[in-house]
Amino acid sequence: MAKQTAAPPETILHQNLPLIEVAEPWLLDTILADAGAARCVVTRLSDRVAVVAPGQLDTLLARLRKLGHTPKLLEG
Amino acid sequence: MSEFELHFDEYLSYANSDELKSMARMWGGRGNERKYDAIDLIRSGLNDPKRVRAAIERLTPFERTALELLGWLGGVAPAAALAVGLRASGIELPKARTWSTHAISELIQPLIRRGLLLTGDARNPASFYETYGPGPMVFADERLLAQAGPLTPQPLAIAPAPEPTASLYRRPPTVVMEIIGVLQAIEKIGGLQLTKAGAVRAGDTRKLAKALGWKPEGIEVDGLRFPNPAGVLPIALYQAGLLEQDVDRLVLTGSAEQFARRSYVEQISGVFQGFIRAEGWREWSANTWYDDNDTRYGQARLALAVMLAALPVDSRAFLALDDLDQALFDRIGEHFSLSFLAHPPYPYQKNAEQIKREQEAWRVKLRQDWLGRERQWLQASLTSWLYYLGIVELGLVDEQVSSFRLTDLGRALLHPELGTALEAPGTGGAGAWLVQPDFEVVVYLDRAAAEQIAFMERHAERVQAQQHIARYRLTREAIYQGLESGTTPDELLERLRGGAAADLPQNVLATIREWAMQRERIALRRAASLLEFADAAARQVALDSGLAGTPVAERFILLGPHVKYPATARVDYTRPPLASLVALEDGRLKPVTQAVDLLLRPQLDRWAERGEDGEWRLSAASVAAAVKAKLPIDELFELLRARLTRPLPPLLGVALRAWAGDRPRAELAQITVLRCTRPVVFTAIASSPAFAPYLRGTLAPDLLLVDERYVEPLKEQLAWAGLEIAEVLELKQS
Repeated sequence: MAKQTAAPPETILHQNLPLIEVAEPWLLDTILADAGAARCVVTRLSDRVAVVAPGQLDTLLARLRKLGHTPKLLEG
Repeated sequence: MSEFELHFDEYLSYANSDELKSMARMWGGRGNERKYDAIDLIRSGLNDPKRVRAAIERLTPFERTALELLGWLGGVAPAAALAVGLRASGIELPKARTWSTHAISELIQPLIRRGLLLTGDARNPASFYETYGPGPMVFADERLLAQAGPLTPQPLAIAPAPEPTASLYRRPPTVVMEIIGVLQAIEKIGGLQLTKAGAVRAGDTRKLAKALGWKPEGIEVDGLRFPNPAGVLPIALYQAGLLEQDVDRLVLTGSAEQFARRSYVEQISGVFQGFIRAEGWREWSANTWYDDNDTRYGQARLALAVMLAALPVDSRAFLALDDLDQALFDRIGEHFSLSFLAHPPYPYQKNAEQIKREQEAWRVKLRQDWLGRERQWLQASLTSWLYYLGIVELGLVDEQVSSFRLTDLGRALLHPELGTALEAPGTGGAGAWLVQPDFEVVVYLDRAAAEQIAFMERHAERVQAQQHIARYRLTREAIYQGLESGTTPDELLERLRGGAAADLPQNVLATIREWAMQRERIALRRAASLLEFADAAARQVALDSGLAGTPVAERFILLGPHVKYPATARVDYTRPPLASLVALEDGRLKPVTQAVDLLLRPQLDRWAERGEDGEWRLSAASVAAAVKAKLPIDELFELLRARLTRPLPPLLGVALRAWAGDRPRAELAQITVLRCTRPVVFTAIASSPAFAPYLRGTLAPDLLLVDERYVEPLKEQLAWAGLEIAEVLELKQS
């Protein structure tokens, strides 16, 4: 998946990475408090951005819709 | 939609000489040409429009109707359907040669030998054999079809029925609105998955029904039953060219808005033809065992369509369903049935009186069977798909459908020669609808352009449709789905205003804006490009140099679309993750290569404890904690399967499942065993009644379990038998 390098690379481009991005930090807190949604999220990069497990974006979307959210789905 | 190229040229060389000689006669052949001379004659004839026109003028009414009918069906059709359609046309047909001549062959074979049709059998396209089952497809050359003209069946002589007390009909805007709704629903659910056999998956049919608010078994349209519309409409829309196959899914060929721009006749004629061709769906069923893969229902629909095209055109009077039924029976009843068709009586070694009497009895039986089956189907056809598509108006007496007539749309579709003027679709603009403060939208179907109806179908939920108006409701869900389909909030409001007869209520405006804002608060990015820097300073340098993107946390930049950056490493998350770990039996996970993706560490942190030197350790505590947090243990195995460079040690696999709660049972006890490696001696001891009280069972082919209480008596018994007893087991090292 990644080129192997001995020393840490200076810059890494993470391509085709599924992300969730929210307008306010408390919103991500709320989402991650739900076990079903949290299961789809691998790690939180910042207070407003988290990495979604590859292949789990549609599951997360369905879960968020069930929780009453109306997320915007973006390709890139 | 046809898989055939409607040209004979490529097929001719695979036809037999005899058949080619017969086909070449239409183009001046004498019947004694050599094979390739006959092919040249046919090819040159087809390539000359004047000769084609002249040849068609020489055709018999039967031959000409066959070409017209095939042209009406798009140039290709199942042979059996074409035969039934020809019978329904009322044209004089070739006489059956013998009592046992097959109903399809006797019509299709002469057309092939005449040079008007070929079959889809590429190895032998000019031979036709009637077989059980769906049978072959036949097609005509498009150069013949181009000059065949419109379908002209023998007109039916049906007397007008009494004027009904009430009638039901659907107007073209309502029909188009429904079709647009179905197309948009298919788009919204991401297309329809196909099985390997090419049918829509049952789950996706149910999904479509759910998206449209339909019960899977059927719907009622103005009180009339329409069975399984979610099952048939995708087939009809595909046949109409509105859906296409994209690998293993059916998807829209163009947008619903593009469909909306066509004329009513264009919009509905393709779907009408699609219904005729739809297999695997029935508007009515007797549930008999005799089921010819539903192809008979398509044949029956074609026959009915031909009958509708043969209706009297000089009157707008209603016609009795019973009269149409009798006329259909008269034309096809002796040769066609939705179920088993009783054969005519055997005529040989019988006198004329006997034959006449038996044939009359046979016809009475046929009619009785027909009334219990095809008559029911006919009524269901008129009240389901033909009504749904707005092709027939149904006359009611005592709330029962008893008569019908073609609508203007039906006349325009089935009698294009009449040039029936249809009401023009609305031209759009203001006045198409009224938006009310309770979020209900009343759409005036006469005024709304089809594109406006498509807009409303996409952004609101239809709650009711009547002849002239449709009621929609602006809901959060519908607005969300509309925005997700690509409409911007400004466009949405602009188009809503643009079609409105009055100003939009303020509360509706404010609420739609609020719904649009809510959608902006959470974004799910399916395939983001995120640039990771070694530290915040390095990122700042990149930002200062003008790199376009959004800073995330301290070391990341979310790149805008199409932004390129020469990164020193790349990770593509659509590809399998890098296998970079080795698992040891004690639970340690040692990195053997450097994985720089953003997933590995957090995923391992869920299951393992971080150790020194970049190692992780899976332990009973770490695994139990993850399971307690409701993580499924299979997720860990999937992670290890993807990330380990070597197989997981089996014992660690056992331990991981045990730590997750799946504890296998093992038994440990101190026992005394008697071992004897000579099979003869072992068998003698194991089967001896004298030894039986001292033994508890056999552990292995040379090993007996001794009852602890009787070790001493056993020794004595062994000594009596002369065995030498060793006190230790001699085990071979493996």
